[in-house]
Amino acid sequence: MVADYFILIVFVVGFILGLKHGNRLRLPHAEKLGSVLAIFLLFATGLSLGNSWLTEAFTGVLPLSFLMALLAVSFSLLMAELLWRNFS
Amino acid sequence: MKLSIFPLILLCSFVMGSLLSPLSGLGNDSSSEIQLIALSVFIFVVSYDVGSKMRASSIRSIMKQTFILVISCIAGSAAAGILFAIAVNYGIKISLAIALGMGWYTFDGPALASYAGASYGAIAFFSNFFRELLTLLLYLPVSTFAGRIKPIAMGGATTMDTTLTVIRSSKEPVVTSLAFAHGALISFFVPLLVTLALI
Repeated sequence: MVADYFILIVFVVGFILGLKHGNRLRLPHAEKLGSVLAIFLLFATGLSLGNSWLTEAFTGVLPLSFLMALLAVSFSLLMAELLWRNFS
Repeated sequence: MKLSIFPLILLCSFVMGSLLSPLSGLGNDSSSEIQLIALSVFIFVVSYDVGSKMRASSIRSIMKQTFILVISCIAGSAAAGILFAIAVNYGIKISLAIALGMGWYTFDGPALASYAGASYGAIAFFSNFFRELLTLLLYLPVSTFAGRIKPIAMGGATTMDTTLTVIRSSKEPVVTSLAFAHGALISFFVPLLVTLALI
């Protein structure tokens, strides 16, 4: 929770700095830097979660969890399609 | 870096991290700190880059789009929770609380575990975790026919951090800003909605 608010603050500060000074002070190779950081971030996320999700992959809990995730992803996309068509 | 192999590299990086986790000798706290530092640096670089490419007029234009995406994500997740309750004969409150975690597994898992027991907590954790994985895997294929913006709703709260890595690969500043704003708003609503569902 605290981490989420912290990164929200980081985003707002970075965004405002980019808006104000982005034209004068461009980050060198920002896109490549972003890609490298993304790879490291996902590595760190894997490190943090551990390998339990891989070893427990076929126990009873996981098929139900996968079904819920699939439903949530599908319905969110469906609702976005419907609302976008009518209100955008 | 070619767009087609980048998500694969990201996924491999994630799996490698998971596999190497027991060998790393890092405790949960240490690896979470590393994750938070990496996330903060990544978010700063991305937000600065996005800010430098944005104009005030384009910020105003994303407010309506963000609102539509947030409503889609909440309504879609709630519908999934109701359907799940009917399909597997779970309580409607529990199913809604699991679905309305919207990808935030570090919150939803412990919340359900403390309210309804470890097995519901495990389902809440893994279903939200799978939502993140599915978004990582499906965002680019889906965006080829649904456009870059609408599939953002699939990711829920994760579009402000982990899945932003894939969404950002569209290299369109507006899409990246929309994804972050969507993720930030969803993260704001998740604790509220999960708590309301469990009352």
